[in-house]
Amino acid sequence: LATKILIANRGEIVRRIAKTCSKLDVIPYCIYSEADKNSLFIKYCKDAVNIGGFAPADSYLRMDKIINAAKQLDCDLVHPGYGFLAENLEFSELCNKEGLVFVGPSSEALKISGDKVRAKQVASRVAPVLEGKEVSNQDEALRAACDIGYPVILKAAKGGGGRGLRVTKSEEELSRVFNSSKNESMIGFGSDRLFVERYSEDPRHIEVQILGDNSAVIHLGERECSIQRRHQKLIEETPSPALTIEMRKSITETAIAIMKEIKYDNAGTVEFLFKDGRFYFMEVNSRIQVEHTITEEVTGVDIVEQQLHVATGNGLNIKQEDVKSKGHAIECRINAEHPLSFVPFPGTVDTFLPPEAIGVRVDTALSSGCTISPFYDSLIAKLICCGESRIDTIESMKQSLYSFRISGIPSTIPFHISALNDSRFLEGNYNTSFIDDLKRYSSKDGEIASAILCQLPKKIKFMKNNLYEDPWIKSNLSFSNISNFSHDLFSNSRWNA
Amino acid sequence: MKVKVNGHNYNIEMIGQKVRVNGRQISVVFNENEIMIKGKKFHLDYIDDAEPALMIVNGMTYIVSKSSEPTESTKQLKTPLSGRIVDVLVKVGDNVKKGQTVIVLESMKMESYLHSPTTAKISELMAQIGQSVKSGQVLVTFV
Repeated sequence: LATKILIANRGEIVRRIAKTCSKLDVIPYCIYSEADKNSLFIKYCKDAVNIGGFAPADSYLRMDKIINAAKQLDCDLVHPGYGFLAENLEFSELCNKEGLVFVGPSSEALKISGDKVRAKQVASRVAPVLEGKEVSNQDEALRAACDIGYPVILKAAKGGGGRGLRVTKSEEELSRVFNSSKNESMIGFGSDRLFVERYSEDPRHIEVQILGDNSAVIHLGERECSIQRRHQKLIEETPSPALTIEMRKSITETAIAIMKEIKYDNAGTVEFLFKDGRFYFMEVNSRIQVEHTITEEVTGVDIVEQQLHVATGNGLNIKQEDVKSKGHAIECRINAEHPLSFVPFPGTVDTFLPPEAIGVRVDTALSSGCTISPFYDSLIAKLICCGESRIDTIESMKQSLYSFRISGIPSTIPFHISALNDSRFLEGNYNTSFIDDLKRYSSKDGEIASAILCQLPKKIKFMKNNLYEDPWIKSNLSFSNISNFSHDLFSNSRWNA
Repeated sequence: MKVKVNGHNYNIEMIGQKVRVNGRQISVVFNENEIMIKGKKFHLDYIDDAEPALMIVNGMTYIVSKSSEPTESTKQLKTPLSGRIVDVLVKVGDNVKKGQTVIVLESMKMESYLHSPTTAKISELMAQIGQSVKSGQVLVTFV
């Protein structure tokens, strides 16, 4: 009898998981909200249940509805994807209680790994950590911050994906943001537990991909994730240009030691801050991650497949010595956002034409005519390029970005083009402050752009945009940093000719 | 006519079908969203109706404006994006400073801050906590 799995998520990750399921003779099913009833991801599953609702709290976070859907569809397994309930202990326990297999770590492991405070306590036995303390109210937060010393970062104990995070440099600032962080944490993760931690300025973010079962923990190398805005990753690459062979050995061994302490038994990631040649444990991500793709490209390991092997009790079917990394891979997260301000921009996509070439992978559940709803996150496609060397991979990524056609909504493609042309990126010498100093505009194409603007045909469709009503965005259009952007239209036209 | 692109001004002369930019003739041929310039093909991915407008050509960003002196409306605060209001930090009669956060909006699982476009007194407030709003909706008017 074939195994049936419910993918309790939405968007590209449903398609991604369904793809591996089909390979393994596991039949994929999914759920969808009222807002997603015309979304394309549903079509990659054998059948689906409308669980209603629009906002996550009324749809993809509704455990009762999801469990009912799994039963209705006669599923044996539940894959939570990333975000939503992926690291929710209550949900994983509920699945077990209802006789469903939760594709993720065991409840015992999740109790530790899914809680930033506990994970740090356990990790501190085998890894360096930054000073920090759990706080239940503003006064406690102020006291803890005073002990640690500013700047400090406020984090949600149950958090992830950058939500709830606040960096503060003073008492006033901490007092001001405490409640909004608490609210965001409650909305996003159903828990308002926060903790205060010493903030390391401009570090790199490097994480190690781990696979574990009840007898072994192995690693699939690291990912460099320093290019972020609002603590959300935009570009990831592997291997990290910052690590020497010795450092790589040290960071991966430390990650394995932490996961062994937790008795972690599925795919997971150990995140580290890396600064001045030293790394500090930050957190464990107890799920498949958005950026798992680049690790798959260089190692050839299907991470979702290993998740399913572990969840069904068969254990990993690879050993550490089977893992051989080859070449380089980069992922650009294409979001439906204003390319300069990163303000989310829901709307309808006119044309959606991803690039096609050898070494280019696009993970998406979007096509021309699709609507991007304001209820969920703004990721619309993951563009992944791999090549023999880092330089080849950067070149392939640039060409892929130039030829990726998305119209009807603005996307972060212009941001990625600027980033990939930045000398700091080319040299591999960047950290989490990369975006602050990024040159976003070209000063070379002014005449061409003027000519286009003055000769626009009357039937051109203008999009509605009220973004510039916001003075914050206006102030970001200061054009103070346009001078050295070396790139221009004519240099990127060869793929379009 | 003058246009502004990414902060620089350009002089435009239009003589019949011909267009000169800073004295240089540049002919642009459109076919739907495809653009031919000097035998090369480009794509107009995006252009909006804002002032200044965001124009994306082949994935490159241009902030363009046909009038070199953009006018700004400072009598109203419109929400730039759809979402749900999670906090209103001001009340009618309050004096606010330009750039001051007045409303917190939740959209795409993130909190966005709406700032006052002007230093003025609030005359009307059309925003309540929990209310769903559409992009372009006026939330605050100023005296």
